[in-house]
Amino acid sequence: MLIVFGLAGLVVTFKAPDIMHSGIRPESRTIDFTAPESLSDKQVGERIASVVARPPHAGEHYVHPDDSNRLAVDWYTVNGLVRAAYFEQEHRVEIQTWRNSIWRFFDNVHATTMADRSPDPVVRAWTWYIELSIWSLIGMCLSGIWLGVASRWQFTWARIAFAAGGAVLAISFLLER
Amino acid sequence: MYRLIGNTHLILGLSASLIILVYAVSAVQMAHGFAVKQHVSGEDLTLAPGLGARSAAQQLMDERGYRGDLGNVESAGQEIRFSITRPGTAYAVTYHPAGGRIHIERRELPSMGLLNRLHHLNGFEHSNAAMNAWGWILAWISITLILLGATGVYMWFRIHNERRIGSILLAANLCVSIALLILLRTQ
Repeated sequence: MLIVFGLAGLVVTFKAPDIMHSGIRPESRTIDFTAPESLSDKQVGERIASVVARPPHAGEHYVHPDDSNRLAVDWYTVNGLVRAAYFEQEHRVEIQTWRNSIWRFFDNVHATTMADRSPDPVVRAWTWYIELSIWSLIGMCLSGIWLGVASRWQFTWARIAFAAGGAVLAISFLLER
Repeated sequence: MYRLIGNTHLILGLSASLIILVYAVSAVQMAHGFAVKQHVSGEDLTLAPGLGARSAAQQLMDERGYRGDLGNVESAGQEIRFSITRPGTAYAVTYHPAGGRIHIERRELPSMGLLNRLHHLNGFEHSNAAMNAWGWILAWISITLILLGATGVYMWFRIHNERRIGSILLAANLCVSIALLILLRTQ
């Protein structure tokens, strides 16, 4: 998990392209769909969401107008975005799947925590694993500081390293506050 | 070799552990949705009239000590609105070029909120030097996390009487994490 956390930090630091800027075209498919005249946009979105099966590992869908002012239903997953856009005059729904790079996948999984409340069992298992990892990381830091201070405090570089890390954090805290 | 790896692990760990705790504690806050309440206050000032957004922001930074990135510039009728943002504080500024009047709404986060914003701060393209410095800190911490894992595993492996329990834990960890990652990526 340290590798996943470390990679996630490097991905955002060096701006690995996200799904909209990777240059990879989405996979597309179309299904026939006609919304009843009496429904609101929100209700049409819900109807589209029920017709288009929830993608694997997706959380709740999101109904909104897209850039062309078409009604769209989005599902975000750790693998990217699935968007179902309604072409009302043509009586069809176009389903586009943007698959992200492996680097953005690592960034997404590192942020998939208990807050996600996904119904998907694999995602739920992952969120428990992340929870364990976060607490392990806290334990690793505290026990590491204790071990370093208790057993190697006479080592000059240990004292310098700890003081430098503390000073960098304190200065950053003051400047960013 | 063991001594070199051990000292590397010690120095990396002691220098980075407090900052890693910033990320870990804010991760707990986000995962469990602990609320962060902002403190909001207001201030009215007068600047020179006829300034653009960038000039007005620069004057606030130079003469009043405001710090952060300039963002969200928009003109609305007789006023210009923009924000100056750094992780712990956001200023929403409304400037009236005709008379130079300026109203500033200041939103300050408590310590937990600051940890949260630091968790999300990245990159080197900020106009604020301290925010770019944190971008470098994130890069260093990211590399350090990977190195701490690698050196930690090496040092454990050299302790022969702990190989059995360590092997079981490491194998279980690798099996679970790799299986979940493959399931998440391939389905």
